[in-house]
Amino acid sequence: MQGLPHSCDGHTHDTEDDDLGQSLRPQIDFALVTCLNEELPNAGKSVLKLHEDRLSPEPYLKSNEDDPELLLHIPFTEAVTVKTIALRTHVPDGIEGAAPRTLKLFTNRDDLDFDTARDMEAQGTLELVPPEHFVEGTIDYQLRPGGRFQNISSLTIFVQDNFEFDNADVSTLLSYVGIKGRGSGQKRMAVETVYETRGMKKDHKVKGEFGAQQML
Amino acid sequence: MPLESCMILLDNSEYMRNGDYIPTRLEAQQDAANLLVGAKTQSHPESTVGISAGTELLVSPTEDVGKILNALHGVPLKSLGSDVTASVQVASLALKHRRNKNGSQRIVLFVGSPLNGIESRALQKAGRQLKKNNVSIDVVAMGELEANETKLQELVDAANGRVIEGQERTCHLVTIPSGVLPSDVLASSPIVHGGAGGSAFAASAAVAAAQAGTAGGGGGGDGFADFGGVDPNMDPELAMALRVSMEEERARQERLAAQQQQEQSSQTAAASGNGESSGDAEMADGAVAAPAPASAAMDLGLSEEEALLQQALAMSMNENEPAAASSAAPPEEDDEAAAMQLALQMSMNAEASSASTSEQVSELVSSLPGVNANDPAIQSALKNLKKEEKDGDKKDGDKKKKDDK
Repeated sequence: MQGLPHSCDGHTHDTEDDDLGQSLRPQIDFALVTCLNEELPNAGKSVLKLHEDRLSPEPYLKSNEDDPELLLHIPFTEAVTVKTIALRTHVPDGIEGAAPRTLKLFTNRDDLDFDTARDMEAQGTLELVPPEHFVEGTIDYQLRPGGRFQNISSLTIFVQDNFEFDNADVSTLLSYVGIKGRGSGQKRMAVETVYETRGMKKDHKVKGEFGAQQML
Repeated sequence: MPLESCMILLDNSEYMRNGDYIPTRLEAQQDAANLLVGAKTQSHPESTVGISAGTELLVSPTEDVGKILNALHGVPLKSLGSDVTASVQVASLALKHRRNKNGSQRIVLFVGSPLNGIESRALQKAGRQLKKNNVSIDVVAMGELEANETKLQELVDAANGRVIEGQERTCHLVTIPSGVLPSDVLASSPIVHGGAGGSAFAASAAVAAAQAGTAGGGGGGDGFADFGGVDPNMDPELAMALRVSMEEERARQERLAAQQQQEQSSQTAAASGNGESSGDAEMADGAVAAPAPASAAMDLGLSEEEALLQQALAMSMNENEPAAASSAAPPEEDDEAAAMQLALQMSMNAEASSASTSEQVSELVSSLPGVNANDPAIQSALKNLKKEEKDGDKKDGDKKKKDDK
């Protein structure tokens, strides 16, 4: 899991724990997070937990019965660079669910639905580790090619299928999704301006060359 | 109602020629669609509405009300029955390519023809597809009600998905009974109100004939409940028409309730009252707005002549406690006055006296032409007649009445 080579002028890595990146959870715009095909409303939002809560079994995100697909749209409040995604699936007792298998990742698209997501070419694809191999903790998946995930404003995760594809369709279950990377501090905001019909002289003092005050 | 893109699906099959709605199902549908277009575009300045007839898209979602209404009124009838699943798919495709991706997506489906060729499984699958793509659907069922009821209910349930207790459903099914004006029912349904407190409205509006409750009359979410949910400043004529029909409905339900009380007490007057009650029941089954000529005329005629007749009756029966008091009360207080009188009457009826004079008088009353024996005002006068006989006092009714007037 090497970091991608990139030019290091003008910034340092010392603010991060590791090369996987800082948690981008503060930069997520939670009000606009949507998830299609979730069984319970707002389940998608609830699965973007704090790092301390990543091992908690609830709340979880589960797709509707007989349908493994999920479309989780995560917009950010500023332009971010996403480096890794951490995932964990813990199926609680009595619930029928399977871990996701293939993910397609799209950037900067807020209008996706399932048909488009299936057909479109993704910015990145992830083949996840089967659940038998890793029971505890989360798994971090690095996004390749990393260049496609620099300075993006939204990330859409399309879960295509899960590990129970042999039998009848079982819903997909996710317990934790963590986004790691680096924020850029560049927000998209409207410029705040004030328009005046008549300028007030006292607001527009300009220093003249000889110290005199010129009024606009 | 927040920003929303809505597709209105019209039914333009030959079944819409049917005249069980005034004037035809098609016209009633256009009227209701008109109301919906107005409500949605006015609730939010960026809301868009599109029209499609069957599987043919007429107008893609737009804010231009003129364009929408133009398309709405030029819809011809086609001989083919409508394929609901295909039309719903076309509508969701139209919504997918809407210009403003910000708002939520909604489909309003009018169904006026029997869904014989469509299995309920196909409808459930369509509903689940809609739920998956986060599209809400409202279904307005007009005509062919018994055949379509279960199928449409399954469609709406599948589109609602798993409903959590205490949360509102996003998809609704509104059934319009025959003869009732669809726009009246819709105006008070959750389809126009966007789900806020709508379920009580929809239930009472749709089953207006059977229920004697006052849930439909009161409890308006907006301040416009009196006017049937339409802003009187925007459309004064429609608002007045709705208000008048709602008040008529209230008065009629009040009469129904009074008549039911009458039947429970099983007075002999009920024998002649039963003849009238069946007439009342017919009126009850008829439409609020549909002019069943004789009974409607009688309704209107009664409301005006009532007051005069009651006064004449009370005076002729030489009683105190004038019915004039209740008739003089402003119409809005009729509810409470009638309710109180009924309560009093119930307590009086419990004692069940059968004085001969009261029987004769009540028969006299019911035999009078143009007088509804079950009118609460007349009943109060009758009750007081009995009370008089019990006490054995004969007060000077005339004087007291004149004082009260």
